[in-house]
Amino acid sequence: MHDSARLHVTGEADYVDDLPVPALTLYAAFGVSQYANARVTTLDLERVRQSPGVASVVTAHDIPGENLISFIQADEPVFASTHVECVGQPLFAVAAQSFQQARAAIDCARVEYEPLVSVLTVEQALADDSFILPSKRLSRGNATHALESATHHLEGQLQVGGQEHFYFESQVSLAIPNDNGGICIHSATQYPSHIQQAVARVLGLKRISDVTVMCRRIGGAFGGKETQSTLFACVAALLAAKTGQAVKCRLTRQEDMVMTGKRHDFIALYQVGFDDEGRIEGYRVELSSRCGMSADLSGFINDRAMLHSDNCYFLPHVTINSHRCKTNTVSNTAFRGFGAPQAIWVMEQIIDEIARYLGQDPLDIRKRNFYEPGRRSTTPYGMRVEDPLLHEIVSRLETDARYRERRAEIEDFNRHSPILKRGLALTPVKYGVAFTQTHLNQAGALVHLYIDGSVYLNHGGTEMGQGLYTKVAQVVAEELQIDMGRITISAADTSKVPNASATAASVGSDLNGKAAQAAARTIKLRLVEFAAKHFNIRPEEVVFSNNRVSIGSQQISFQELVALAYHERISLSATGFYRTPEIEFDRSKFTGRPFLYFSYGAAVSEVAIDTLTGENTLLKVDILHDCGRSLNPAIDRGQIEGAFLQGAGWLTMEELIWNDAGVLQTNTSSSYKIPACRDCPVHFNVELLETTPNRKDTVFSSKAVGEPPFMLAISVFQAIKDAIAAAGNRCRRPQLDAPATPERILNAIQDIHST
Amino acid sequence: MPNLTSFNSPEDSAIRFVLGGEIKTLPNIDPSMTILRYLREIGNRTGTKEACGEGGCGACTVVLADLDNDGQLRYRTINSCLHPLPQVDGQALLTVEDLKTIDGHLHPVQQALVEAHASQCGYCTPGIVMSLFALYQSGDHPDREAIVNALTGNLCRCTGYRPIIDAALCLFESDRPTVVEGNQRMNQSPGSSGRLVTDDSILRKLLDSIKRSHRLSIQESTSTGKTNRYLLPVNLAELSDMLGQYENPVLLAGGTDIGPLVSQKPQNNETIIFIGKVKELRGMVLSDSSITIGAATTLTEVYPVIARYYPAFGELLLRFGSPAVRNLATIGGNIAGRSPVSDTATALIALDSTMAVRVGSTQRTLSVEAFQIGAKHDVLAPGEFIESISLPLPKEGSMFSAYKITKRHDCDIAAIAAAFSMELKDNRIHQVRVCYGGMSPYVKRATHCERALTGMPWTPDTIETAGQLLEKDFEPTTDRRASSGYRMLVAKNLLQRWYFESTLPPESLQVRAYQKTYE
Repeated sequence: MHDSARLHVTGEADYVDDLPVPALTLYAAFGVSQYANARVTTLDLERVRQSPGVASVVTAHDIPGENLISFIQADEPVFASTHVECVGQPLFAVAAQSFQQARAAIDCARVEYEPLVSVLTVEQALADDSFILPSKRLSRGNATHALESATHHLEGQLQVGGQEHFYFESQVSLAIPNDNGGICIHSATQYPSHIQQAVARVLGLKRISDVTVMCRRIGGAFGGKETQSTLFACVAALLAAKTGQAVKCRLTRQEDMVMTGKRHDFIALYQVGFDDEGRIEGYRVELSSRCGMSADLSGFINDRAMLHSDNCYFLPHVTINSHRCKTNTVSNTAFRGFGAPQAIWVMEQIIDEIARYLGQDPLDIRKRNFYEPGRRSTTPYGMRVEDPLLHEIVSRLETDARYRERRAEIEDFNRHSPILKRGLALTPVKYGVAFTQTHLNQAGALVHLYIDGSVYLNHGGTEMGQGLYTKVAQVVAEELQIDMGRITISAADTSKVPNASATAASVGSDLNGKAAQAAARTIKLRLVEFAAKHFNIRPEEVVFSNNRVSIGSQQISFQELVALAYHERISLSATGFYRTPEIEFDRSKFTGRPFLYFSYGAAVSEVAIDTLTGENTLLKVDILHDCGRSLNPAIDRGQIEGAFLQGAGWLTMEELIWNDAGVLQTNTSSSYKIPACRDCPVHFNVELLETTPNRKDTVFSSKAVGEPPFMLAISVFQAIKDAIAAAGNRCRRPQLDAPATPERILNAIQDIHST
Repeated sequence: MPNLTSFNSPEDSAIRFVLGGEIKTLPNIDPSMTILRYLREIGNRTGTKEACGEGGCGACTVVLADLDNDGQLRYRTINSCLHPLPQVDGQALLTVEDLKTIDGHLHPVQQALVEAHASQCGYCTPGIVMSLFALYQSGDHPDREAIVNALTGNLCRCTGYRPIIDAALCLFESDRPTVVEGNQRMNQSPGSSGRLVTDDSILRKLLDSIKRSHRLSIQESTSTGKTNRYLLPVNLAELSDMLGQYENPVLLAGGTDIGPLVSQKPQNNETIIFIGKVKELRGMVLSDSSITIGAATTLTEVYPVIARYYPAFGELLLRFGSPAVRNLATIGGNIAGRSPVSDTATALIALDSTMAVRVGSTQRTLSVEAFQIGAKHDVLAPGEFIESISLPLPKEGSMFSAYKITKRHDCDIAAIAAAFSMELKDNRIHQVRVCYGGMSPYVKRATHCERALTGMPWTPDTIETAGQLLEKDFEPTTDRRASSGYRMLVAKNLLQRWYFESTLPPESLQVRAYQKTYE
């Protein structure tokens, strides 16, 4: 059960917007660019300043420190001054006495632009050589030669769309100035220390330590609050510093959808060569993504896309070229999977193409191309795939979900069903776990023990619904052998654990669990040493179990031991630290061991489509997923199901549409559709591969689970494609880009009929 | 307890409603204040969340309780982000804070969600709690389908819904107690449930005491010296008075369309007349040949009657917004909104429905089809309003079908809406009406197509020929919901689906119908 479950259902769980605000709190709103690419010729804010309730108006000129919120490239200002590079880019901000007054004031601005030619799409960017970062290449063997010499050869272009995070809680920060010139910020963020550093730099503070950033819980993030929260915290802080009053900055849904980055959409141009059995011999792909107007995390996202281009398949000769396109759209950012979903989706389309070209079941082609422990086990970047889990999962799922029998049933159904067609697919996923920026793989924790035996737990991770705080508390409870009820779970706070990495890359519990475990062990060790000395026995005879401590032949309660230790002046507070072992990655050569381990899973999805309209429905889903030895099966199952449906949304109904002027058309809940309750399949079987502990030394041998199951939803897309193929005569392979909206499905059906 | 005699003046400037077991009396409040803002910013009830601000996600779901015509307590979900606070006048407003017992016991709905691990980030959870609470209060034993229907407007981005549905199944499968006893009941506990605000007898008493006998008229002076008014007439005479008195008032019925405009962009010098309480505009009358529906009757109220005679129309209504939207959205409001993809207008026009419109004491009747004469133009004269809508009952041999094509099945706006009706005599087509939404700037019949069908045999060839003529009837545009090409193709294919319905069962024709038969 989630540690806050009771607070969630009673409405008592406080999110940033629910916190009591200090007297005279002001409310912020943004004036943003209406043009995709333009010179700003006039920015007249006189009437904004005169507008009722307005306390402060700030532009780029009012920034005491640096006008910069990005760290990786110095390419993203807080406010644009003379040149705007996307619709929604901030030009100024207002603080007023109410949310409504702030928004009313924004409309009083007089802004004039001199429009410039804008680049909006990946195609345009490629044609114009418009890149935000240099292209990268990952190569092994001789793909050109392998492609030439292969028996069969296919090539094509694939497009996969982006995705709006649609976290329920829109971006929000509350900045409260301190009397020492510093500032305290409550922010809904996955990355408090990033905000801390950025605010210090924007305000020109001498010490980062003068900024405190706190976050108890986030109302959903999914990557969208890793870097994207920074701007809003910085502007709240700037306005708070200017006015000396607290400032809350909260976006409306529409503002959030327009102003914040999304999942990258990709175009892939591929060539693949294979033998009669469908084994891939040579593969070349150009992966191009829409990064938007600044780099943000795009470099690492596209790196991860390259590192996951293989998915589960051995590619003997391979060249992956990655192009990071600069466009005049909002800067795209982290989103669950971080580039891997797009690359894996591309590979799964290719497997599908090979299968349909050869007239074989795609599952057979998948299995023939799997990594084999031993001979065919090295990834294009040189890391070996050591576990045999892929084979185990897929063969078990194939049997349990009755893949072959259902395949036959569906073929029979389709023969007799003129309008509706069913489709079936099994797709696997292999996901590399660790930040590919090696230095981020570290975490800290802080554990206090009080004289009543209660525990205060703090660590650098943030709680966004994924159950991290529950898992880490479980780890500490297990280590100290006490009930969860003794533990007070506390907010992420830069003043308690410094320099914490973002809670991202699925490693929240891997990192923070280990750090908290280390802190708990430090205290436990002190207690053991103390007890041994105090009771004059050997340390091995001090055993913690179920809220009690056996000391030789006698037993005392945990609480008694803690009280005793306090009286004997034993330190009852400890920090813990963890850094992921073994990983090293040479980003320039794209070789090494970027990941500590891989997480695996597979899904079978069955769909029905309507060949008259393209309407479709997900009939049944069977999932088998590897969580190592799960820390919390209920939470892990929740992550798997949630990720799956979010992925299904990405590949079916969630469609981002910009007009020719670069204005997002799908900017509300009424125009951008995420899966609703009925989209959850009636038959939704999820099983954890529980018996298999992680081979690496992770916290209680568990595995990361946040992102990997997202890619299981590719099975839905492949099942739709399978159903489309059934609508034709199997001579043509269906061509379907993502998302598979009813319109794209119907077009694909028309297309296979048109010969 | 307020004194009923305080309602002596013909106009009253205070709204009264029940919140937290007490009567709230708020004089001359800002009429643009939404229920949600009131709860969060003034009522210190931050459990109710804003996520989309337009009634599309359900995070802000609260429950309104009132007494229906039979004196029964009725619990309805609404989206608190959409509606101005005066709309709660005379009702009880229940929020997520109200469900626990005084001594802290969770409501069975809350307990079920906790036990099923049905919350992750928790931001959507209060809304889900309230939707399930309303379902719980209905006293039904809903099955999975009914549970999903109740939750169509409550989006969740984290869980994938399975544990939420399971929680509800678990809750409603068990022989649930209607009353949960609290352990340490406070002295003078207001009811046997130990819940301050969800106890039936208490609520009844409170609701009785705030029954409105005089119209509500709120005036708010803005900082610029202008006046905003919010008027709440309870009968036609009052409404006519008000229409005569003020220039260009905004008529608010359900408020699902105009509500967000009023609350998000407050205007100055605006008069809003909420017609949802005008008794002559509410309810349905069934005659031998027709159903007449008061314009301010909600879609929730309309649904069972329409679904009985026209199941396909009923299906459309079930997919119209969410339960919380349909609980306030009215049939007249949907027509008056002149949406180019109005599901109800499409069906009503295909059924040759009529409408009565009124100004003062003058009433006239026109066809629903004739109401709209351009993209944003209708035939209403100044001061004229829609009074009722009449649709004919099905005749012997008549066939009616209606479809809605969307990216998401529930709570989505149609890319194409279609409704077809005809009478089949000796396998020949008569009295055919083919109507589409989303194919032109306003909902329109396909006249060329209809002509090609009239008098012809009901065959695939007839349908094929008539379908081609849709290209003469419509020049659909491309927008964020669909391209022009898709719209035209699907418009034709839906005619085919209509034809196939006479030879194939629904589960062979529509994926959702098939899904229900799967395994």
